[in-house]
Amino acid sequence: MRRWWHPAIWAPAVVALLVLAVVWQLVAARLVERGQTYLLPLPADVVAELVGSPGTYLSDAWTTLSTALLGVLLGGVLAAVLAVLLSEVPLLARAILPLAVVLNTTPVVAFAPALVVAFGFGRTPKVLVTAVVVFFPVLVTLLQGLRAAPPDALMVLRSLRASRAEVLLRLRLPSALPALFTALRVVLPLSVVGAVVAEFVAAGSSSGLGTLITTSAANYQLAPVYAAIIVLAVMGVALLGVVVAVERRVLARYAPGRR
Amino acid sequence: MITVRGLRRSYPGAAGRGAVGGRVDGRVDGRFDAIAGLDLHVPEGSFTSLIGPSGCGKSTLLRAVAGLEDPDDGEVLVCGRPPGVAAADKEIGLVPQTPALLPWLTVRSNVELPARVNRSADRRRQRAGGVAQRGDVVEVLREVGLGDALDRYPHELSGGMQQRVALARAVAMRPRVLLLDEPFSAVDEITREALRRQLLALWEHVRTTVIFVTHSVREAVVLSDTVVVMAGPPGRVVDVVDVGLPRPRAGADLGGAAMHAVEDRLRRELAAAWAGEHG
Repeated sequence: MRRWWHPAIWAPAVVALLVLAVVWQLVAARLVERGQTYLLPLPADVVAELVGSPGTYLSDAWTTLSTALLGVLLGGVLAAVLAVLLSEVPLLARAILPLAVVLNTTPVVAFAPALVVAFGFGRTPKVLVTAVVVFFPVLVTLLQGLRAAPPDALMVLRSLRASRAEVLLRLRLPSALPALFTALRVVLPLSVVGAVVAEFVAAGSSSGLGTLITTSAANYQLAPVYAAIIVLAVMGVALLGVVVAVERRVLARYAPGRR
Repeated sequence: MITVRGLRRSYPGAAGRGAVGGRVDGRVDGRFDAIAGLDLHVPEGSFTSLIGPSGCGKSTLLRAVAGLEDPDDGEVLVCGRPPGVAAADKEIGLVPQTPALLPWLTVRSNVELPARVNRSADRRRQRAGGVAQRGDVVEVLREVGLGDALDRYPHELSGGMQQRVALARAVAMRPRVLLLDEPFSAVDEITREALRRQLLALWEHVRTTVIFVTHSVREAVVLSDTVVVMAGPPGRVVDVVDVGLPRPRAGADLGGAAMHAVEDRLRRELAAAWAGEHG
């Protein structure tokens, strides 16, 4: 496998990024010349915005990130518990799983306004929206993982009359770790989407990058909007990077030779 | 020791495909008989192989003896008790087709796994017989030539070594019955020969009652006291052949007229069994 620091790996992406920045600069400069300043800010203005008040962006980023992570924790833990329950009680799975599959394909961020109405403008509805967004992908993926325990190993444990709890702890849960990481890779970036959408809906109430975006856009200030978007992008990439790094370490032990 | 009387085991068959109502090709009312009316007796301490064409119910029979399948008819007794009761006391050791080792556990921990689950079986055994007579994990691993691999992980081992770990896992808890389901089918012929010798050496040392499912006539003859020839579906016993070759065979140079005579007889019977189903 070629390493990430090898130029052949990262150079194409860097070149593409530079091209994008140049195109952005050209288009934005042209628009500003025409006096259409509300279409696209100059990259320099966005950078100046970020450099000018890093504290604001950091604290807003932390607000959004902590909302997202709390949502992942809440939604993820509940989904994991339900996944274990459904994998142990097939009847329950037959009852609940079709519903979960439907909801997994539904854009559940649409719940956001309703949750804001129900829980007000504080942090609670935002964490709940994120939790709802996270819940179904984790449930569906983890359930698949729990069911994917190798049949011959199951047969050995059953021939020893290992209890269900023993089978769960010693075989099913460790076997489901790859699925857990698959879920996390999907769900962590998604949780940021959930948090931002929740902030859109309940804007003006508190800090957060979503709030910053809506309030700035309402005042035709595009530089902060794009600055916030860039911070969000970096946040998403960082989250994914953390998951992949942890995944490599864990799966090297629990599922060696799978990748 | 192991007694099977009139065993029938059926599965939901391909509904609507032939056989509506009547009995055709082992299918009855949309159910498919994997085994029908099977009798078998395996004496204590003997090594018995089950051989027969694919789909003759060998593995189903093995799972029924392991208590993993409930008979639809007839009965299975292991040490005079239903297999489920024997399994609850961890008296049945199972070696499946694949090694089925847990990749996150070392070789030693994999072999210790049976001791770590269903501990109430060990407590019962302790109360009944004083000391818990489970084998020593390290000792058994040494006997199968893995004394140096105790702290290695399964993915660091060859296929043959992994299958030896699976064998050690089943034997280490000193089961009264050892069931092997084509355990050597996934390894190459040379490794297979070595694994057979190791199994024989281990068994001559730890005398349990063995049922060994195989596709290989040579393997069945080399290992067994008795070879049970099966045909099907529905699975049934066609013949029971006593091998009658001298033991110990682990180190011995096997071959010669006596062995070939048994092999030829088995091959003829298998050919007849196969022709009976396909001819």
